[in-house]
Amino acid sequence: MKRISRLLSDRLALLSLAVLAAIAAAGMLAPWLAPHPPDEVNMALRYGPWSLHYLLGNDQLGRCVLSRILYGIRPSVLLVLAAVLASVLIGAAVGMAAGYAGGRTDALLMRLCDVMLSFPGYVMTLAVIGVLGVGLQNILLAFILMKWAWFARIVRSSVRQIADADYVRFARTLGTGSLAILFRHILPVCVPELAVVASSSFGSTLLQVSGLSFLGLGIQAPQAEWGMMLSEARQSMFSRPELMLAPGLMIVLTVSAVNFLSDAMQQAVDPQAGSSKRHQPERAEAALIGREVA
Amino acid sequence: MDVLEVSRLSIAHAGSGAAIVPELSFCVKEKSCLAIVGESGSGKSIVCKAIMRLNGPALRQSGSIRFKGTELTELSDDRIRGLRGAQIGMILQNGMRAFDPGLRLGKQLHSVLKAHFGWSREQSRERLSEAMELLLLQSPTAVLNRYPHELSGGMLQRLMIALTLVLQPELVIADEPTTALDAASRQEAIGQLISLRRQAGCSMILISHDLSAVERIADEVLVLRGGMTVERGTAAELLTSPRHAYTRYLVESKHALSGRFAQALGGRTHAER
Repeated sequence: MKRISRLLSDRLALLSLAVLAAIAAAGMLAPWLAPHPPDEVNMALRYGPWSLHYLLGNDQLGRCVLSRILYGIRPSVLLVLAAVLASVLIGAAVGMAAGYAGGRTDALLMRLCDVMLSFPGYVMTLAVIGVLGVGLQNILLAFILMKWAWFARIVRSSVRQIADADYVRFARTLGTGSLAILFRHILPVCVPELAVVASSSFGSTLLQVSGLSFLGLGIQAPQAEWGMMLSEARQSMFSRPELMLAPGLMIVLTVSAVNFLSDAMQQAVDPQAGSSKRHQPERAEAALIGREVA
Repeated sequence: MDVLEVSRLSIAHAGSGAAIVPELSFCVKEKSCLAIVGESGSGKSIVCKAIMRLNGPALRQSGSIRFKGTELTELSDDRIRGLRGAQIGMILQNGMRAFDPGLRLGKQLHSVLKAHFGWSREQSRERLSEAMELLLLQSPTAVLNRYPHELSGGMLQRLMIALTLVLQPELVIADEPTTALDAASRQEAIGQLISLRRQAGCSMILISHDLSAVERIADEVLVLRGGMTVERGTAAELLTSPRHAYTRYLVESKHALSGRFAQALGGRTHAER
């Protein structure tokens, strides 16, 4: 609770959180908020300028840019968020199992992580797309396959450290079961760390998905996605550069908000400012790994 | 009757096969207190962890450990977990690190009591408060509402003893309970361990190299060196007239230390060498 209130007392963090919440809400409410259907073609309005009726103008097929931006939130932000959450959950489960069980389980799971981490990210993504075909869900699947290993490593290293702490030993001498120890004593310590790494990884994943959609490997027309909108606007880059503004700025805005938030979170969980000083080196390590992921 | 019988216990590194405890046998009589004394690295703590079966797979052990007639080495993991805390309690060296820093003490202790006895929150609170009052801890409700870092190490140590008192185990293993404390809290902790023995009527294994604590709490003493018994006997006898050279060395170095301390305070200096 202390950490959350510390986070909310940071104005930049509060602003980022508000922006992200607004974007997520707009994405979920897109069908009600969007003034026009996102794929309604109207050739009479090609490259239409900003107007009261079409607030952000029209694209090369006369579609409403604002509506496409709003519908684009779903694949660009919400699905990416779901993918990151899925990889965090898988990673946390594997990491906790490895860190707490130790021994052979640990060795086996960590070697599996090493294998996953030894593939360069884009190669793995392209391989998955090559096998399963072009599409957003395949890209996200590739991301989940790649990223869980990072999270597993981070969780495992902090679980290992806490599992040796005296209070865990004392809990064991009191006859507390393994699951109870994991969920009551170990998991709560890992969560802030994990949140920091996950949020920075969310920003990078969002950029990568947009990048792959820009290359035409992600979501397919006529559906709206920010990276693909950029890619479509590229065709008229020299005659109508303003079409790149809306999706480009949305990506910049979202990623910056996520990055500012994760920075603020890092400060909020900083043990120097808080009560416990135990996990300081571990946090620094997690932050480093987070940077590498990003 | 013996509460705990350890016979031919040997503990070795699983990898290298190096023996930490070559062979050790001892027993703890009902309602009595056995002190295990020795330098650091003599295997005291590992023996106690072996009793609770808390040593990891990196250590291999053999021999028999019988607790009230039950062979502990053959029990299932579930059964032994039920024994820990409720039947065999443990008091750790450092109160400061024995509690989860992220949870309020009351909540933490309640979860232990709930797991063993199925008590409600009020019940746990009531029994803990009673125990804390017995140990002369002031304002138990306020203490239970605090986080561990808000209390002193000595206070947390007393809380650990209070929890043990509530759990009423048959056997309490106190692993260096006075080492991490300053002189004043040490005297208090010794007093509390004595009253824990009286109130709970339990047997106790006291691991310590604090011979003044051993002198006041223990009935019998086992001197351990390199995992082997050097000497054993009643506390009074062994601490006043040690037979073995090593025991004599331990006792004398303690006297030398406390003599120096007394001298510095301007008190008696009869023990000085």
